[in-house]
Amino acid sequence: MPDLLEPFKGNAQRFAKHLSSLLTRTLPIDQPLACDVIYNRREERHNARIQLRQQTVKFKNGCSIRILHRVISNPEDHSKVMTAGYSYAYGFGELFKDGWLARYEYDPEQAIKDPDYEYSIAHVHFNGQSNGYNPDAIPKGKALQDLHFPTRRIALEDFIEHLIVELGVEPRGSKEAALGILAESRGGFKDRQTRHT
Amino acid sequence: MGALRVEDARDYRYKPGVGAYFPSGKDEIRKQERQRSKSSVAKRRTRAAAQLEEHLRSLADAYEQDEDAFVEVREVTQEEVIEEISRDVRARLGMTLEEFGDAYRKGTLPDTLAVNELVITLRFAGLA
Repeated sequence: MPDLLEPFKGNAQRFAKHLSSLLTRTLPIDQPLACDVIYNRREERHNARIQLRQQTVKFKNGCSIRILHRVISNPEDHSKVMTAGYSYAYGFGELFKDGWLARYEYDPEQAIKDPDYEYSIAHVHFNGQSNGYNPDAIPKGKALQDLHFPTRRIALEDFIEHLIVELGVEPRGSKEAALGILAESRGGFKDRQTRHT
Repeated sequence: MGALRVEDARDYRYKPGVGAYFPSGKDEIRKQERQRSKSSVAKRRTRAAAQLEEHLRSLADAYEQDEDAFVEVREVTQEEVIEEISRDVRARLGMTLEEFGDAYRKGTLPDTLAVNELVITLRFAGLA
């Protein structure tokens, strides 16, 4: 397996470049992503971690984002990679404190490794308030921001579109052009998902 | 000669005195026309394939030249990642790596952005 490192690096780089291109063509950031690869001896597989080069990117309107994506070699086709986890987060303050607003997470391995895990493997955490929600009135009730609101596995395209359409993040170029790029790319995401998941 | 086809039969003429059917010559013309038609289709297909190849090449070139989207790939070791996790655990959670590991195994870590990113990094390094 270690001899497959070079092909895996190439595949991971291609995927990372696809995500990177998506970001640079729709948002005002250049060379946004970095990709680290490692060979996991215990599980005998290659892993790649794709994340923002600056880890946190802050846009003109004060919105900050963090993107962390993990891919592994696709067991059905070693010329491809598949997503093994992601964390897409944004907010208008300090993301590691109370400034985060939403966190989209996907961790399929958690459900395999932890038999007590009972939430949707793809979910969103929302740092909001509700006058009607009282966790004390619910058995094992959690604070609102700790709830795992189930989602499907979202694409980076969805995340970027949400930033542009609803959070006022200024796109690179026109909004219509950015949304067009995202719509076109999203077709590819659905196709890849249909074939590989 | 290949098998006689119904449409070819129309082009055979009875020759008085000879008692046999002979090709009128039209079938040969049709054969040539079919051959030309096949050849034309093949040429169109070749041209379309060439155009597609050219299009894909130009897309690949544009993709390669998209320097704004450049991604550097770095090979890292497990030791380097452990060092990074240790640093982040201390900075973001105020814990040592051992304390973090214990809490992870016991399932007592808070569900936060910092923890989630650290768990992804642990999985990346094959530590979780």
